[in-house]
Amino acid sequence: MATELTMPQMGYDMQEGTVVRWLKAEGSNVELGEPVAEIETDKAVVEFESYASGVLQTILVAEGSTVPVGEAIAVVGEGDVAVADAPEPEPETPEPAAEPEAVDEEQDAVEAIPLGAASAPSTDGVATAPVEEAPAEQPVREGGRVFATPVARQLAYESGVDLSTVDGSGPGGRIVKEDVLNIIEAGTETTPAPVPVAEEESVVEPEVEAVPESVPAAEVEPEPEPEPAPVAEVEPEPVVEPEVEAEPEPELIPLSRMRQQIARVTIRSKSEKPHFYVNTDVDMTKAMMLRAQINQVMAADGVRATVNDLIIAASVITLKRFPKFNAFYEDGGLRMNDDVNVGIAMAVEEGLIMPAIVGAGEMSLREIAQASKEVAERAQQGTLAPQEYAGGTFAISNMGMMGVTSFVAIIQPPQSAVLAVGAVQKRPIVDDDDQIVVRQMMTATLSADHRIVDGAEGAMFVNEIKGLLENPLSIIL
Amino acid sequence: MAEIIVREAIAHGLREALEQDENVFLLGEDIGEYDGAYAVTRGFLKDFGPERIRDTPISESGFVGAAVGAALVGLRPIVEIMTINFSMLAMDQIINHAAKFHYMSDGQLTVPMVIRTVTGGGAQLAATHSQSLEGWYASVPGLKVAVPSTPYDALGLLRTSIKDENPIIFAEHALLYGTRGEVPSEYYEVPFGQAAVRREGSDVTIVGYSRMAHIAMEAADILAERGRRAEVIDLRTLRPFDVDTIVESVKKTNRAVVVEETWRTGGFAGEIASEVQEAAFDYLDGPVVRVGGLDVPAPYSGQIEAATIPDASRVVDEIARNFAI
Repeated sequence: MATELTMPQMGYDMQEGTVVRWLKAEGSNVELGEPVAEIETDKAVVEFESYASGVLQTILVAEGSTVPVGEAIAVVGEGDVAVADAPEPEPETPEPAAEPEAVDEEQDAVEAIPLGAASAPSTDGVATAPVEEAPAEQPVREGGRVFATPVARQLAYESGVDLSTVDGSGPGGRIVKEDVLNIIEAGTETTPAPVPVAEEESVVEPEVEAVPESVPAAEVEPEPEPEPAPVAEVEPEPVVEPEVEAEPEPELIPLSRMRQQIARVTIRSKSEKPHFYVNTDVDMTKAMMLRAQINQVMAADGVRATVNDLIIAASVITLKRFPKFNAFYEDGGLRMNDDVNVGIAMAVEEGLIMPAIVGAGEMSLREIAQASKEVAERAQQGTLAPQEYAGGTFAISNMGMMGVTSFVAIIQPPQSAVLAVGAVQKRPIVDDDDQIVVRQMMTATLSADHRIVDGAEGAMFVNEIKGLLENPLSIIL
Repeated sequence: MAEIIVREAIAHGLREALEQDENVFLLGEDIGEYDGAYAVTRGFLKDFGPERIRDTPISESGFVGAAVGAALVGLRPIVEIMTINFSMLAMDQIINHAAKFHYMSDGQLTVPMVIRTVTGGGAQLAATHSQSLEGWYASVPGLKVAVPSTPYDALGLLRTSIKDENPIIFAEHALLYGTRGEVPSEYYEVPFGQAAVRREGSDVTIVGYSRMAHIAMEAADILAERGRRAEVIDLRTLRPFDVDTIVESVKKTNRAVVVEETWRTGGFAGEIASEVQEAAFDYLDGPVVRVGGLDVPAPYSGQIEAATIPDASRVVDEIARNFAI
C-alpha cells in the first residue's frame, strides 16, 4: 500500500511550496515522522516529515520545483527497495503503462496498483518496434497529470473545457485537439466556464500562474486544523500613486514573493472580514513611570520592557476576559483558541512579518519582554519557527516609534482582531477637576471582525486595555 | 523544354552558365574524358574544351582548394565532387576557407563557387558511398545548401547558385537523376530559402527534401486513401531554410513530421523540428516527429539498405503512432 506525500500547508495562507532539497533518496527507508525534504515557504525553510513509514519509492518533484499545496511530491510504499515497480505516478511516462485492455474507469492510479508480475511485457522500457496499432487508449492520469497537446490545452483554456473531464484519443490517451473540439461541439459538458483552471491547479495546467487567487484544495490537506496565518497586515495607507501619467508605459516592476503574499493576505482579509474600528486614548503616564522602575530592577539581568511589552501584557489579560477576540471565525462558527499567542507586526527589509509570542498567555511581563526581544531578532534573521510566524491568535501593530499618533491596521487572517497603537506623547488633557494638565497619551485603535463581535464589545475590549494600562500595577500583579 | 529529367536540367544549367559567362569553368574527377560519373557533363569537353572542363586527379582537397583560389581572383568555378562522401577530404577547404573568406576579409573577398556533389543512398554502394551529409554543411555559416528534388528546381536553383557570390553546396540525389518533370522554356530562377508546398492538406504537415520529398508525397497518397489529407512541403534549400512556410502549414494542420534520409541522430531534421516547435508550439497537437535513416552504416545488401532508409509506409506508421490518425 503506497502513500502519497503531498505538499503540506504550513501556514494559513500558504498556497504553494518549493522543494529545496530531498533529504532521502529514492529507494531509501523512511520512518513516520522522519524528515524527508526541506520545503521553502514564503517565510522559511522547514523540514518536511514523512507521514508514512516505508520505502521512499518515487520522488515526483525535482529539487527547486514549486508546487501547489496538496500536490503529491513523493510516494512512500511498503516492502524493500522497489523503485522499479514503484507505483505508476511518474508523471513523465508517455507510454500508457502496460495493461492492454483499456480500463475505462480512471481509477486512482496510486491506489490501484497491486501491479507486479501480472503485467509482464512492458516495464523494461524497451519500447522499440514501431507499434502498429495506436497503443491502448486510456486516459493518462497518472500522478494526477493530464496529458494534452499544446493546442488542445490552448483550446480548452479558451473555451472553458475542463481537461480533466476529457477522454484523450491520442496515443497513450493523450488529449488532442479533436477531443476538445468534440466536447465543445457536443456542448454538453458545459463546465464551470470561466475559471477552468482554478480548481484544476494541482492537476497540470500551465496557465495556473494566471490565477494565483485560488486556494488549493483544503480538503486534500492532511492537517486537521488550518494553521494560523503567516504575514501581513497594516500599512496605514495602501500608498497607491494617484498620479495618472500619460507617459509611455512605465516599467512594470515585479513584486517580491513576500509582497505578493502580503497583497494576497490583505486583499483576502479586507474582502472576507468586515472590519470595524474602535479607538481610544490611553493615559500612559503611570505606565511609563512603572516601566522606568521595572527596567531599573531588571537592568541587572539585561532585560528591558518596552512600551509594547506592557501593551502585550495588557492585551493578554484582556483577551482572556474577552476570548472572542482571540478566536478564529471558521465555517460560520467560532474556533476558540486555548492559547493566547500575540503577534507583533514588524517591518523587515522585504516587507512585513508578524512573529508571534507563542504562549504569551502564560507569561509574566518579564518573560514577555524576553520573548518579544528574541522573536524580533529571529524575525530579522529569518529563522522563525513555523509556529512563530503562523501561530498568532491576536496581533499588535505599533508605529509609535515612527512618530505616528494613530492609524488603523488590517486584521491578519485567520485572526479576528488587531490593535494598532501610536506614539506615547505629551498632550494637554482636561482632568477630572477640569484642569488642563499635561499627560503622556497614546491612541489605540482596535480593528475587529464584525462577523464575530460588535461595536459595544469592541468598546469594552479597548476600555479594558485602557484600564489596565492606566493602572499598570494590575498588569504585573 | 517540356518534360525533362534532372540530369538534363542540370546539364542545361551548366551549359547555359558556360555559354553566358567566360569566367565560369568546371572542374572535378572524370567530368571531361569520361563525360562525368553520373553523365551530367556528357559532351562538355568537346563543346567547351579542356581549359574550361578540367579533369582533376583524385585529390578533393587539392581541386576544391584550387577552385577557392580561382573564385577569390574573379573566376566562377563549378566543382563536381563525385560523391558527397568524398567531400570530407575537402572539408577544410570548404568549411575553413570557402565559407569564411568573405567574413574574415571583412567583405573584401568573395568566393563565388558552386560545389556540385552527389548525395544519398539506395544504390547499393555500401557504407562509404551512400551517405547524405548535406545537413552537416547546412550547419556552417557562410555556406548555402541546395537540395533539389525535381528538374524544375534543379535548374532554377542551379541558376541561383551560379549567380550567388557565396560558396554553394549543391547536393544532387543519385536516385533522382532520372526523375522527370516539367520545365518551362522561359528563363526562371528558384530563390533560396523558399520551400515549395507540393500538396495542400489539413491533417498533417510532412516536410521533406531531396528524395525524401518524393517519399513524403507517397506517404500523403497512402494517407489520402485513409481519408487523411497531408500537406507536403519540399524545403528545396537547407540553408537558408524556410521555417515560415512550415509554421504556416502547421498552424493549419497542427501536426508536423520531418522526413530525412540521413541518420536520425544529429540529422538536420532535428534542427527543423526544433525550429518548428519553437515557432509553433501552441499550435501543435502532438510532438514534431522525425522520420530518419536508421543509425547504422549503409549496408551493401539492397534489401537491408532499403530497410534503413525511410519509405512511405514508415512515414505513415509514425504518423499513426504519434498522432493516432
